[in-house]
Amino acid sequence: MEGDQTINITLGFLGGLDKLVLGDLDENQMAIRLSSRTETGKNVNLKYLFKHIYDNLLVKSERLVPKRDPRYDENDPGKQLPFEEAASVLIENGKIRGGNLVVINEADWECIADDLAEELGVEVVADEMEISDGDKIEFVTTLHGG
Amino acid sequence: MRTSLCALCKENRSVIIRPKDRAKLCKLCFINVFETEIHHTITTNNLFHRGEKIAIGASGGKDSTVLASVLKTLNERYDYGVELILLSIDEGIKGYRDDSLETVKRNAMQYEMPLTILGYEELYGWTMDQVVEQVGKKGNCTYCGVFRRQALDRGAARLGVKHVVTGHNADDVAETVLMNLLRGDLPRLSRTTSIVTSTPSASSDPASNTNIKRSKPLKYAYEKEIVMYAMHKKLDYFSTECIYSPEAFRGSARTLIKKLEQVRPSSILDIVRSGEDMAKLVPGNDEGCGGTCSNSIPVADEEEGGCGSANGRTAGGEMATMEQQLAQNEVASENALEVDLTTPKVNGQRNDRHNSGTVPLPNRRKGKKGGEAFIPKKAPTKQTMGTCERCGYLSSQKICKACVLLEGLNKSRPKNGLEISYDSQPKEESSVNGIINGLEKTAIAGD
Ligand SMILES: [Zn+2]
Ligand SMILES: [Zn+2]
Repeated sequence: MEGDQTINITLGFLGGLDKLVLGDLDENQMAIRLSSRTETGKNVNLKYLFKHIYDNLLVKSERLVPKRDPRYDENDPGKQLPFEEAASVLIENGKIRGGNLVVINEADWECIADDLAEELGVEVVADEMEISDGDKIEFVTTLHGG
Repeated sequence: MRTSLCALCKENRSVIIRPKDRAKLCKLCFINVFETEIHHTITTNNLFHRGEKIAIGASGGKDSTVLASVLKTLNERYDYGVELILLSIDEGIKGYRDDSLETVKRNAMQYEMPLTILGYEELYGWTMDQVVEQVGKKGNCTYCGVFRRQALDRGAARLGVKHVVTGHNADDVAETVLMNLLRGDLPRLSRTTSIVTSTPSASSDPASNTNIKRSKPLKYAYEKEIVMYAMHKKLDYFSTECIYSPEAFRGSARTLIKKLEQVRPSSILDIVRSGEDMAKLVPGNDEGCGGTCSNSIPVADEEEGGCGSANGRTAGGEMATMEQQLAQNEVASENALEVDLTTPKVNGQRNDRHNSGTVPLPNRRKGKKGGEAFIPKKAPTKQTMGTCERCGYLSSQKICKACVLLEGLNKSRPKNGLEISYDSQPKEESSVNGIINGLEKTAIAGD
């Protein structure tokens, strides 16, 4: 049964995203297992993965309640950063926020998308690239920590 | 998997598409091209001189770590004959710099460079924690921002180093260009665009130790490529935990730039180039030299080390607030200056308008009201920027902000009214508490 198949991929979070997404773990990687097909029977792509990360990893991250942010005040709902805003450091409206790099098997995803576009002769939207079993997908923020 | 071959060696798989020209390169060629372009920046702008001692403003973050790594590589490869040291600033906020300073200590060993960590305590006589104790939590932001702005220059002067390099990259410069454009501040835009700036000396002697030159060898390097370089070279850098909020205006400029980059990657360097071209049009700026002619090095900008700076990059929250407050203070003081210069004429006209029932427009910094003759707000840059009578640091007032703040602090200090002196002579190392100098000492702390 195709619907039961899964793929194993490795996620990496670098440049500060590690602490944000994974917390105080020494590791900046995690292995996850995804269904190989979406509900509509398509092969899973990056967009699907981003949603998975948002719905499953980011919502669990205690770091996304930014207690050290001066705008945050436990007792004042007006001074609490909404989850969406905090999570938008990496993912905003289902897309990767500018200033973050996505590196797939050590290659810049923009580079891979460009290769694919050349090969197919059509424009390629990077988020729609499919992911495969064994892929290592890393997220790196360039935003801070100069 | 679908992959293309490197545009340069045509052998290896390409792993990066360059923002500036969309060229696809393999890992080795990318590293090589990245380094060669920085070499090109250094040589075409004559940034370094043989025998020069150069302090790298090191925060442990990606930009200054990449800068240190690349400069070490280039100094060896092209035999610049310069002596590189690392200079870090510790604000003296308990816990705040611990991790980043540990990273800098490891960098010192990895790159075999001597490291000096200078605290606010050594530089100003006060740690930030002590300042907070004295003035309370509310006003302390101002102090930290003002002190940080001068810390690298003062630190370098202490060490007898006349040249400080910082990790400002193309994205940082583009961000600053955009901010100054949006504020209508072309003089400042002009100063911050320059690859070399200097801090005026307390002494009029140009050979004085406090005449510190600052330069930005990564000025044309994309942040994206800096991160890619660090990643592929597996450099050890520290990432701040909190990556949320720079002050609102800078944050918006940064977001805009990153969005533009997604749509049109060359935008960032294009903004930098536009900034340079606009700078040439600003009075008092020598045309064409890009600020590197020996006689016309622009003074370092007071705001240059904002949230986006290599050494002053904030860890978010608390520090961002400091930045914001400081920025507001600066605007306030500039506006005060402006009013002084233009009061008679503008006030007269404004009163007339009041009488005629016209509602005055908000005090716009430039151009004043429609239809009126244009009154330049400021004399050209060089005349408004003087030096502090006390410490010699760049200042638009007689006494710089740091000295004003220190005077207040020292007056109210309960006992032990320690006056910090700004003599330009480098101190004996033994007299400076807390300095970690050389590898022997850092080795103890390294892991
Ligand atoms: Zn190659
Ligand atoms: Zn001063």
